[in-house]
Amino acid sequence: MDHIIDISSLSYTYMKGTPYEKLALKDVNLTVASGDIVGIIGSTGSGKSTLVQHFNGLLKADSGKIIVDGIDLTQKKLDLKDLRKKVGLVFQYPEYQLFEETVEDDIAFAPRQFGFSEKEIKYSVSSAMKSMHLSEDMKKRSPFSLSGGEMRRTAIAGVLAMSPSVLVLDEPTAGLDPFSKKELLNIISELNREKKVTVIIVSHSMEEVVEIANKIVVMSAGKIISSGTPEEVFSDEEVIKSARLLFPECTELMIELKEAGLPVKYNLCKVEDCIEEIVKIF
Amino acid sequence: MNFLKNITIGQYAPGNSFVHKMDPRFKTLISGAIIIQCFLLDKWFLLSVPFIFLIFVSLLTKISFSYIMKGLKSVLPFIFITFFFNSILTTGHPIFSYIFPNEFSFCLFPDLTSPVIPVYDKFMITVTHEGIEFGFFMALRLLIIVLATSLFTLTTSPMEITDALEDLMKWGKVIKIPVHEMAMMMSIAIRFIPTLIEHLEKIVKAQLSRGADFENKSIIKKAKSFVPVLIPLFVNAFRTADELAVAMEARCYGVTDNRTKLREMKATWRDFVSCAVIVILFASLNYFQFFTFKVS
Ligand SMILES: Nc1ncnc2c1ncn2[C@@H]1O[C@H](COP(=O)(O)OP(=O)(O)O)[C@@H](O)[C@H]1O
Ligand SMILES: [Mg+2]
Repeated sequence: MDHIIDISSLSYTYMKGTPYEKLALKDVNLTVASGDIVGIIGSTGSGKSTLVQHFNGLLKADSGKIIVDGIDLTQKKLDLKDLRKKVGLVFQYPEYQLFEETVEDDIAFAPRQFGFSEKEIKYSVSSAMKSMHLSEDMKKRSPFSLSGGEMRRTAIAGVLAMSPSVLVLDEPTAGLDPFSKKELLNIISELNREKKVTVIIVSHSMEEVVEIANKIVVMSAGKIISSGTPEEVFSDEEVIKSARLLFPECTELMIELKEAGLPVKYNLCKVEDCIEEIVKIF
Repeated sequence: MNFLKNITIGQYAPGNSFVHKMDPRFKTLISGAIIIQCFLLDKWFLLSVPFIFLIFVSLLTKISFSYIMKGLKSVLPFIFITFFFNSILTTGHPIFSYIFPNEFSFCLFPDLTSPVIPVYDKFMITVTHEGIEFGFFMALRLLIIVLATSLFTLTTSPMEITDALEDLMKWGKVIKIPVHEMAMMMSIAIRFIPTLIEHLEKIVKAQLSRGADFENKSIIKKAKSFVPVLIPLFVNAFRTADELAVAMEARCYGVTDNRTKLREMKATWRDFVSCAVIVILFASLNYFQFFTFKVS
């Protein structure tokens, strides 16, 4: 049982049975191993957000099978609360979900809903804040008085506080400044390393995804058209083009070097790997 | 989790028919005239004329009959209730009566020249000839009002309605009613309903992911469970309003008194033809109403 998420031939249609019907996912197959960081990439409207909302039962598949951590999501009597505790879902622009008077209370919302004891709540709030690099003295501040990056981290801490075993983030870095972006990505890989949280991150920044993910899934028009390690995925130019995506900048560079006749491997994605490869030929 | 999927705003059914193409101002006036006219008529057979006219109009809209019926469905119970109570509570010649505990009488064509029988008597239910006639009349009147308004909203987009009302209320400016501002508020409100619904849906999902539970049994708990949804929703709405206000000011909204319009409303032959038909129809109806069949 090393697959924490196992999806087979999943399909989903929005507004079924109305003139506005929209097929958003067709025949999606996906497995995620426990402890992985999976990056889902694809252009806008390719169905990324729709797919991740299936992981914690917000959307119900029309057909297909989803198994998350041993729970069959297509069964009739599904314990949604139990599932949602296991799979923490951070929506795009999660700062819009803040509502409590203090940062502390807001982060405590999820643990309280899931019936943690007061002691556990205190502990999980502190540890979630620490994981998200939020200082202790922020606890008593109003979430609405924070900066954008701090609000974002508070909102993610609010999901982390329920200690999910799978953390799903829908475009977590959208609209952040470069520094906050970098910091957030570091925090996420730290979480994965230290707490063994399986991470699924949706993004349309290639650079970002290849830095942090060890597996990449490419979506286009509601289908998964490619998946594998970053190197595997970015070695197929056709797939990247048809998904209306671009190569990460350093991969682009390697491709150009290769075309200029230099003996380099071109399907490298991480900046360090590229530097190494370039240094090698001199 | 698609509890919002059945919300349609207004019930506008886009189309390209004669009625859709009419000037919204004329549609507003004509619908108003039909409603007023049906309060002036007091014979059911006179009322059936505007009713048949509306049936004809609904064919003209090219909107499927079942779609129109869907809009009427919610008021049908009221129409039936109106008919039912009028038919049993009107003094007249009984067609059917039931006296508690087990006495029935039935007569399909009562002698209308005989003296009337009061309805209220012991435990008695009496359906009278006059009651049925009056119930039918009231039901028809209600049906016409509902049909006229729904044909209007089916063929006129909320924005067109706002424009029409603004234009028709222009005279209000003379007595310092801020007509334009009110119309602008209305159209902004209409414009932002779908946006707010989208936000709402997103926030609900986000809080569900954090373990929120909206299916509480107790009312107080249920009300409390909506706090995490309502606060972000309001915060969001205020932010959006603020941004919109700034954006409008940045484009000099309110600098000149007389804004011109992108979509000018223009009366065409359709509107004049419709007006002519309505005038002729109503003039003859009123002639019959007030001169031929004297109000008794
Ligand atoms: N609530 C909704 N109702 C109807 N259609 C939707 C809804 N949400 C998304 N869609 C449609 O489903 C498709 C996939 O959307 P989404 O999963 O949000 O894409 P992505 O996150 O990859 O940008 C899009 O074409 C979008 O228009
Ligand atoms: Mg999305």
